[in-house]
Formats: sequence, structure tokens, C-alpha cells
Amino acid sequence: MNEELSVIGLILGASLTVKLVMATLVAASVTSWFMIVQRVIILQRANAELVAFEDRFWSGMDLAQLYRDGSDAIDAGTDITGGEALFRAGFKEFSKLSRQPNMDAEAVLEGSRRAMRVALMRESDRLERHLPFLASVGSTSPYIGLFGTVWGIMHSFRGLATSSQATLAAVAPGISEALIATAMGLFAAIPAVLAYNRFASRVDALLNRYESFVDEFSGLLQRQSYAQRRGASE
Amino acid sequence: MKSDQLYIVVVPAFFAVLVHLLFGLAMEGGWTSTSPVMTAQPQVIQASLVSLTKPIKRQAQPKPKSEPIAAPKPQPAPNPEPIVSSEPPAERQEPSDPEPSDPEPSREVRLAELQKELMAGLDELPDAEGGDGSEIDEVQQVASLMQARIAQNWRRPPSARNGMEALLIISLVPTGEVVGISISQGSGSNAFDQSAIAAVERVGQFPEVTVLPISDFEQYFRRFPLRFKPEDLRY
Repeated sequence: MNEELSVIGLILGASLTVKLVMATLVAASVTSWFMIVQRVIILQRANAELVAFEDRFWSGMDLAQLYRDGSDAIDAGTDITGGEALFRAGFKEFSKLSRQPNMDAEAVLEGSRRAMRVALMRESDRLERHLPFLASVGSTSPYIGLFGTVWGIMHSFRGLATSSQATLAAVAPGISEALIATAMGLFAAIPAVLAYNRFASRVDALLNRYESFVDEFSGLLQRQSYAQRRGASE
Repeated sequence: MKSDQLYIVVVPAFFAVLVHLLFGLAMEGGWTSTSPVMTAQPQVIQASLVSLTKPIKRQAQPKPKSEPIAAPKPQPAPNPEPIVSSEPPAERQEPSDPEPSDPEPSREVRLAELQKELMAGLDELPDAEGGDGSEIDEVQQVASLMQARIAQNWRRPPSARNGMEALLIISLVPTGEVVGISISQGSGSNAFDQSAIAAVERVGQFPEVTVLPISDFEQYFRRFPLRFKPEDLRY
């Protein structure tokens, strides 16, 4: 009656189904924590990058120079992401199109906008990667845990039916071990849901800032292109 | 750039494993600390059982210390009477190898019946008065521990029936060793009486009594009657 009730012992004593459920939940929990920490790092970086890039962008430096700096960085092996990627996509398209003759300002602007929209999509893909996984861990793992628990309790009650004496001690360990599955499910789900909500709102905020940067930059390009056309026509 | 990609994989992986290890350790630690509570439970139950044997003191006091040995038959009924009865049909089916987890839950069932019994017995005793608390409590606790141990070691013969009753007189020395067992009132079934004696012999020693002051030991446990009743049999 004094046998040690340890979590490890209970887990090892569980039936195969419950063990499988627990293994699934542990895997889901570890993976979701991995992704949570990874998202934290990536989103923090994206934020810092955007702030630094906007500083440089609005410092009044030559945009062609900014573009060339970026190209140098790419040659050096750095990945260009975030606001700078948007800028590069838009600027590249703009300079390509405006070098062509018989291009009116509208078409040039439209082309560079489209290029930036594509880059924006790529950015949002990059930021939102793995978020659906967190969402599904958050919503399904309590159910998986519950399944393990119900299964375990079913088994311990079946054991009770075959024994002549209905004692609490006959079912208690089984129920206790079964409840571990629910605990694991909740342990996996709670951080995943919290992280998903937090990350989703942060990604939204970042994408909003990207979009407003795209708008501001295309405003700049518009001014530039009309100035060019007028200069050419006069 | 390579190192950066590695960083984005290794750091999260490290954190994920760390979080789970910490959580696992916390759970493990928490659980082992709760286990003593589980073992303490039976003692609470025993205390409530024994509070009903209060009259012990009133009866025992008038006796001079040395007397109990000299006068072996001071009417058994009024003496302290730890009533031992034990449960389990399950135990009876396999007397040689009882399941270790069995006696505990069954004790609760037994307790309910014991309490009823004791209540009935109490009414018959004239003017029970309250004793002073702590000393009596200690004695009662020891008595209930002893009862529990004997009950666990009691393997009743198949011929045991409700209504049988055997009264044993047990003599102890201060170390708790049993030095004498005699049948004061047989049940009529030799097998039943022998099983009661065997239960006490199987326990052999009651180290519980060594915690008591020697005067209490002399008063309550030097010689004491023990009643064996299979009241809780279910047939």
C-alpha cells in the first residue's frame, strides 16, 4: 500500500494506447516549444531589421546607393529579408522598367507595385510559417489527452468489474495514470494557444508596417517617375 | 549565414528540451512529496476508531501496578478491549499469500462495523467519564496500531462464522515482545481459537509500545485481553 506513486512509474505502467497518446503529446509539446522559441527569435529579428532599415531609408541617403549596399550584402552571403527585401524588389522593377523606352509612368509604377506585393507575400509566408501547427496543437492536444484519459479510465473500470472487491485502490492508480494524459494535453495546448495568439497579432502588426512601407515607397517612386517623364517630354 | 541557421535551430531546440525537463522534474518532485500523505491516512482512521474505547482508563486505574499478573482474572469485559476483527474474504481464499494492497481498503469497511460494535458496547458500560486527553490518545493510538497489525495477520479458518468470539489474554514485556498468550474464553471452535493465537504469534512483537512511558505500559499493555470476532464476514 506504500508503493511509490511516481509519474515515471505510472507512465510505464500505462497501457499501450495511453502510452502512444502520451508519446504523441510529448512530441507535439516539444515541437511546439521549439517553434515558439524559433518564432520569438525570428519575429524579434524582423522587427529590429525593419526599424533599422526604415532609419536608413528615411535618412535621406541615395536609394541607388542603398540598393547597391544590399547587393553587396547578398554577395557577402547575407539573407535580405523584411523591409529591405520589399525595397529591393520594388526598386529593381522600377529601374528595369523605367530604363525601357515607351513606358508610361503608370505602367512602371504598376510593375514595381506588383513586384513589391509579391515580395510582401513572401515575407508574410516567412513570418507565418509554423503558426498553423501551433494552432492545431493548441486546439487538438486537449482532445488527444482526453482520449488517453478516457481510454485509461475505461480500462481501470473494466479491471474493477472482474475483481471481487470494489476498492478504491483497485482503480485509483489506473485513473491517476490516465489523468496524466489530460495533463500532458493541457501542458502542450496552453502554451501553443497563447503563443499562437501572440504571434498572430505580432505578425499582423509587422505586415501592416510592411504594407505602409510599400505604400510610402510607391508614393516616392510615383513622384520620381512623373518627374522623370516630365523631364523627358519637355 | 550557416551559423545563423544553426542558431535558429539549436537555441529553440535547447529551450524546448529544457522546458520539458524542468517540468518533468517538477512533477516528479511534487509527486514524491505527496506520497507520505497517503500513508498517513490510515492513522487518522485509527484514531477515530479508538476514541470510543475511552472507558479503558477508568477501569484500569484502580488496579495496582503489580496486580495484573498476580490476579489473572479481573473480569475480562471491563478491561481495555482492543477488538480485533479482520476482513477480507480475499485473504481467506489465499491465506498463504495475501495481496499487500488488500488490507488497507478493507480496513475502512471493517472500521464502520467496528465502530457500530463499539458504540453498542459503550452503552452497556456504566457511567463512562472523559479522561485527560493526550495520554489516553497515545495509548489509544498504540492500541489501534496493534489491532491493525494483528488484524492483518489474522487468517481465519473456513469454519469461522459470524457470532464466534474468542477472548485471548496477551502478556507483553516492555520491549513489546509477546511472552504469553492464553485463551480466556474460547469460541467453541478450536480452529478459530488457534487462528487467533496464530495471528498474535505471527506478529510476535509490538514495537509500538516502546514509545509509551513505562507506567502506561504497565497499566494498559502488560496484560491485556483481546477479543477476536469475525463480525464482518459476508455470509
